[in-house]
Amino acid sequence: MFADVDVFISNYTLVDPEVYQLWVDGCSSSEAVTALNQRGVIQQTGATLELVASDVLDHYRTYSLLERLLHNPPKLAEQLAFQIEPQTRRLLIEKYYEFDGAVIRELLGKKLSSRHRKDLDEVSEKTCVLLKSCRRQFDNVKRVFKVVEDMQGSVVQNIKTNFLLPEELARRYGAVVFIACIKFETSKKKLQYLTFPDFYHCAQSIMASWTYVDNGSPEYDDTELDREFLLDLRELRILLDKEKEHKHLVCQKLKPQLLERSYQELDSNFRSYTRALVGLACNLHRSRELRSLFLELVERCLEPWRQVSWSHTDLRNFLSSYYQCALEMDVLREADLKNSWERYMTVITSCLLRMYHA
Amino acid sequence: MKRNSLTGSDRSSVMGGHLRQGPAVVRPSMNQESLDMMEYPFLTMSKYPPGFIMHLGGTVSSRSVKLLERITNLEEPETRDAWWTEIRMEVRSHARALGCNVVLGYSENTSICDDVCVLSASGTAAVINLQFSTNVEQDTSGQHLVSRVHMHNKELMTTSLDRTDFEREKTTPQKGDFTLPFMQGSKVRHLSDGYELDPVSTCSVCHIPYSECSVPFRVTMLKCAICRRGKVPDVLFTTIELPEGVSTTGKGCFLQAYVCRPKRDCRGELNAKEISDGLPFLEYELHRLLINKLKVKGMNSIFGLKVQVSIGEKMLVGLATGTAVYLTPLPMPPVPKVSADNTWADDKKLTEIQKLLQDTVKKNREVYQLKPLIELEFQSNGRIPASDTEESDDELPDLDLATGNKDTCVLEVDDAEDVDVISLLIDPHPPEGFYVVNTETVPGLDDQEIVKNLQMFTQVWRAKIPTGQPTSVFSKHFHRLLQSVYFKLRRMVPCALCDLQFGVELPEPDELQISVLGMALGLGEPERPSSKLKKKTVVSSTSKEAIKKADECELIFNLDEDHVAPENPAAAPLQVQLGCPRPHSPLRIKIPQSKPHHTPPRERYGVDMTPLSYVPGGKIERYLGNLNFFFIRESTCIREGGGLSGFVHSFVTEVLAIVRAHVTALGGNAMVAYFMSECVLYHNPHKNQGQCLINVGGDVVYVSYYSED
Repeated sequence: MFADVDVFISNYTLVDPEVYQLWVDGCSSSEAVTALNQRGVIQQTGATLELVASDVLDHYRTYSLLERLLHNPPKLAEQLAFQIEPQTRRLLIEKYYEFDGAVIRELLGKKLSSRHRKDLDEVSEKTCVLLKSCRRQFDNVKRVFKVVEDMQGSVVQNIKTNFLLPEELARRYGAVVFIACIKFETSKKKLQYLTFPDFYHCAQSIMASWTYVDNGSPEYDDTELDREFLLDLRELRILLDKEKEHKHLVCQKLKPQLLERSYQELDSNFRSYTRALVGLACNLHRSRELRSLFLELVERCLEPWRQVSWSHTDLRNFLSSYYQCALEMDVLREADLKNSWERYMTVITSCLLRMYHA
Repeated sequence: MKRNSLTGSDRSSVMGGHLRQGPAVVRPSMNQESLDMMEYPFLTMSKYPPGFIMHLGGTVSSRSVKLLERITNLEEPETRDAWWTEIRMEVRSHARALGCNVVLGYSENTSICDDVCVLSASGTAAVINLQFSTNVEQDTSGQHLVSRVHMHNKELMTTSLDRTDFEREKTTPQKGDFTLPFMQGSKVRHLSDGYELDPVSTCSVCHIPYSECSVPFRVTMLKCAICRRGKVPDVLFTTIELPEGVSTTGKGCFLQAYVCRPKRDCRGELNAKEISDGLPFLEYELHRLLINKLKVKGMNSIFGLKVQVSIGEKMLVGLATGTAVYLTPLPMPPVPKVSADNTWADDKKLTEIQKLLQDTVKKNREVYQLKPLIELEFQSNGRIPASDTEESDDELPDLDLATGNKDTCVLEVDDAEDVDVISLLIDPHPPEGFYVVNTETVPGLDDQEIVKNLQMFTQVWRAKIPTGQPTSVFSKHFHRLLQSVYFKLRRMVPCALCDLQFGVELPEPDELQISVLGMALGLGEPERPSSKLKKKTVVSSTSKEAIKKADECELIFNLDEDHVAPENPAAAPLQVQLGCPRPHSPLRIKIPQSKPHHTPPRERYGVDMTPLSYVPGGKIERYLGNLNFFFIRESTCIREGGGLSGFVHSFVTEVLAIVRAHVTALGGNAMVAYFMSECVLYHNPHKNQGQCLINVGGDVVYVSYYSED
């Protein structure tokens, strides 16, 4: 029999983690009932399917009433309509703002406009995430971006205070915001193999080393790159002039660690590798070059290495010696230049190692 | 329920037995003094300090059907006053007929359909101790014959209503624990008081307040199973909470009966007559169902009984809810016996039904740990102890509890519908870890204790039901509602569902609306001294309880009759302990220390709301006022807002939010005695419109929670 009214309301808002997850995942109420049934709720509790359905509908009604408040998490604590215990509130927010790397990977580099929101069915198809969930993730990213975009101070901290997210989740959003702020190129075909965790890793290391240093001033902003540093990187061109010396040092250091064939290859190709790495550094002050950082890294560095099938260890050894040997050279004796080289190479090494996979 | 032709003439005879000393016995003088000043000696409270209630007479009620049309001037309230006066006078006379001086747990309500109104009033007729609060000074100064009963009373003086209020205002800290012993609902039984001071007090409440011989028709009266002196009825229905100190056996459980009676759809006076003619049958049927269900449960009394009559255009609905309890002084109810006349040829079917009933009763006795006193004694001593009173000889046959009085519960099976009725008597048990009652505490919950509030919940259900269906279809809906509460709260076990309040309405000719309000309470380990804990491991508390009683009987036994072989009084209880088999309850076995249990709260987030009068684990520091709200919400976009369910859901959510805000505004952090007395919903699907009226309220309080120790 179909009931006209069937509601259950409690003084403290009841949140069933399982049903909430299904709701967040974008399941319709009937899909949720099917899912719960498949997980054996009926066998475990002896309830009828009708009871499970009524329970799910109750929860779904509550969640849809709560959704408006979830758009502004601090409001959730202030509002009086729902009495939600703090641990339940944390669960609500955390799960609502949780995102799938695959979905966010698709959104990276795209303009967060309503035009793109319409194209989310493609994303949904590709990632096998329900459209509703894609929309939620899209809206969440857009909302977070809009709020913290022009805010001063640490982006992660801003996200934490404005959305009450846990550290790890806030960092993930921070990376997304950072990539969007710099407008890094991420969607070119050659970059398709990179996952969200790859970009997250790279964005993290760039934010840690290339943005303005947190000196306590309110103007400090880690979504902007340190202009002076990028300009200083031009000075590294000097390394190209001393290419022979650099090559000698590197080859000497790596000889015991490399196979003969690889050594031969390095010996003949060192010039093009160092030109790629140093050339990239010299051009980073141009914003167009900066935006295509990842593409440059793939095209000019990773692809040649892949062609000669370097192992991951080979790459690590090379990058570390390449960096170390430059420091030993007279041309980098100047502290400022040395410092720039360190800052540059830490990030590049970290990014290249992360991105060097199939 | 409706006992209207009893005459209580000879009052002193019943009393004589156990209140020998003290002026408390002289009742006529008390009547003149205070009770006569009250036009209606009605008390609406349902909980009283121990010793206040002396005898319970039973539930008294009165109903009347009125035509609202008749009132020419709606602003003039006199007519309606007269209606209520009539009803109250009837209730009063019922109580007096039962030899009682007050009506406790009194309530009034109405059900209106078109221009016909049914007014109802009910309560529990009782004899209260009028010396309780007024004669203290006199007692302490003048009396040199201070009986034990009096000492008991004097001690209780501090708990009397006027005094408590007084002392609470002065806030004497050392009195804090003492003044409100009956507010700490978690402890139903104080083993120390009652037993030691007045050994009979655990049963005297159940003794009939009128003389047996004055009853004009055959009523089953038996000797009290504890003291063997007073007379007790075979069943007792009351609207109040289980009084503290009354001895019970096993656990209590929720009991519900519903009757749906079709009626002709007519208007005005005809309609009123139709309802008026149907009501007695409805009430009779409801009563019969209650009695039979109670017997199937294996219990003999109902507390917190609420009967609601709702009138609709095409049907009358009666709903009775209560908490079934096995009162130790009362006899064990016999297993209902099925009979059929010759038209019912299928003998085999009949035997099957009888077996089903027997098995159910057996199962219930196991689940609720119902072991009659006499059986315990028998097992411990190997003999049935002889009764101690003078008339003991002719009493013995009556004590044969399992076989006697079959005529009171014969279920006639004459057609298929009756078979249906029998299946109605058998309710499913709540799932493991749930204890369900409609009183404020769970009677007989010994191995666990209510330690904290979990959730107050409200459920509203409404659906179209085709008219003219048998009651069994009807009961399905009630079961379903309870099932959904169990399902929703399944992660909260072990938990007690207390103060379940049901409301039935018939808003449209073919629509039924049921609302449920209740409180989920967390159960935890009871806090007891270690010595008692040790004892607990040997003997389950139910049997311990019984042992105490057995012990008492032994005591009386020894005093009165000399020829009994001298037993070492210290060893006697031990013997009983050893001989007493542990109740084979699945519930008890499954609750070792390792099982999940709740712990008392350190604090509570936000505003706690509860229909109960107490907050477990907390202490009500201040009462900050009463709130009573009527809210009306109208919507012209029902479909867009998630349908009628969505409309009601968001409205009730908001109503709770507003009430919580008012509680906070008054400086409170909780609301006790929360109620939702009205939930009227109108709906016009064609216009996409809906209106809802809700009446809620309660008492704003400030609660402090105990810290670490």
